[in-house]
Amino acid sequence: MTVPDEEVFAFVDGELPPEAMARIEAAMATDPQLTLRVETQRALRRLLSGAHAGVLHRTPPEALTAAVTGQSSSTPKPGGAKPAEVIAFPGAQAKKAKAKPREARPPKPARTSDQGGGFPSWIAMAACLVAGLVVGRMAMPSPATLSGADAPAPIAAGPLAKALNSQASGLGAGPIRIGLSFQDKAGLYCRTFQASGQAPVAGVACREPSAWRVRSVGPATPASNADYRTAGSETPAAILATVDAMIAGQPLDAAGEAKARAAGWKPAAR
Amino acid sequence: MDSFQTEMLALLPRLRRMARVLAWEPADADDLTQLTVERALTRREQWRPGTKLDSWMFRIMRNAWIDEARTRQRRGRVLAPPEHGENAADPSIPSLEARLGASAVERALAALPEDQRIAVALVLIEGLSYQEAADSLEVPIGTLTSRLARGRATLQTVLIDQGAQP
Repeated sequence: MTVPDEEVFAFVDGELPPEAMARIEAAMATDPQLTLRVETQRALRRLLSGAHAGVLHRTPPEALTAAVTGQSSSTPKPGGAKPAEVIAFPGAQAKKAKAKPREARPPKPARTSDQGGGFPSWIAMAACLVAGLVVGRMAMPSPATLSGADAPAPIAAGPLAKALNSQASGLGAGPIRIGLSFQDKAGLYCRTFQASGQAPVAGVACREPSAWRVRSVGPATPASNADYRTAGSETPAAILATVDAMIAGQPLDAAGEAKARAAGWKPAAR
Repeated sequence: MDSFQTEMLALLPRLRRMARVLAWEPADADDLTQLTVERALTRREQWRPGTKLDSWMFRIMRNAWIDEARTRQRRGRVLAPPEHGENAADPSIPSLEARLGASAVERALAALPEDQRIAVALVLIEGLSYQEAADSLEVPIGTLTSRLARGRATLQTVLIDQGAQP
């Protein structure tokens, strides 16, 4: 079933008629791509709910409550004062003169866990990350089926693809770091990756002829701010176990990795 | 204080948040909130009890913001000292200080065109229905949903490109 974007949005926003809501809900059970699109939109909503949220938890300034209760001298006269004269957005210098205390940045609000529809928060983060993958996937020729367990794993796109292509293992201060690189039993080059954030994710992707395909992705423990990172030291045990099952020989050393990167991650002829 | 005022008082935190989506700088946002409250009080007979106060007040806020922007432009043309440059007095352009303190989500939101930013804020932050948001903006529902879709697409791209850090 092909669901247009607008319908996915309306579903997430609770704006579809009940029967259409139920139809999409049912389709999600068998269509992981649809689930991913829905979860991506839910994640976006969650991210946005944190925007400027600090102001929700603080007592409004007295001037504002006074304006509401009418205990302020600035209460407009009945009959419609000209409000444009009440307010002014002065320039930078005038603003300093006004000496209005600039509020300190509020602490980040606690993550709300009640909006996830029962999904752990890392799924939302994975969805965010993997949304780039979906975009990449959609640009590929359509597979015979989009549903069912045999649907191919997502293709890496965007920043993840960039990191997989060019970033050296264990380096990089960006949101995505590469743990280690290795060759799988079919000779394909594979790399583990970590994406930081409040709910970090980690995974393994292997370089197929046209793109990086994500073989596995799951939650990761937050990266420590240790001064030096050994390649693979933060890679979650589950991912390491996956690597163990896939790997042929040893992980690549820096030279091997550089060579593989220079060759465009094309498997060496064996 | 009557029930209208009580309800408005309860709404203040959300009004302040919406004002920050529009005006960004805390001081300017609170000025905008105050203007909104004052206008709402002078027009309270236009509000139908039983309808939602939030979408009504968001409409007042948005219109106040537009009026302010016009005033600002006029004033800017006539009064802004040349050394301030063209955008010095425009609170919709975040100062460096505000940018540095902002989260990635806030920066991405601020970068959206205003039409899309307000549509996104009303529906995805404030939780208004499409109909309520369209009423607040005084546009047809189809206009609202297309602004929303465009805003969403940009946010998704930007936030994912930046690593989706909340």
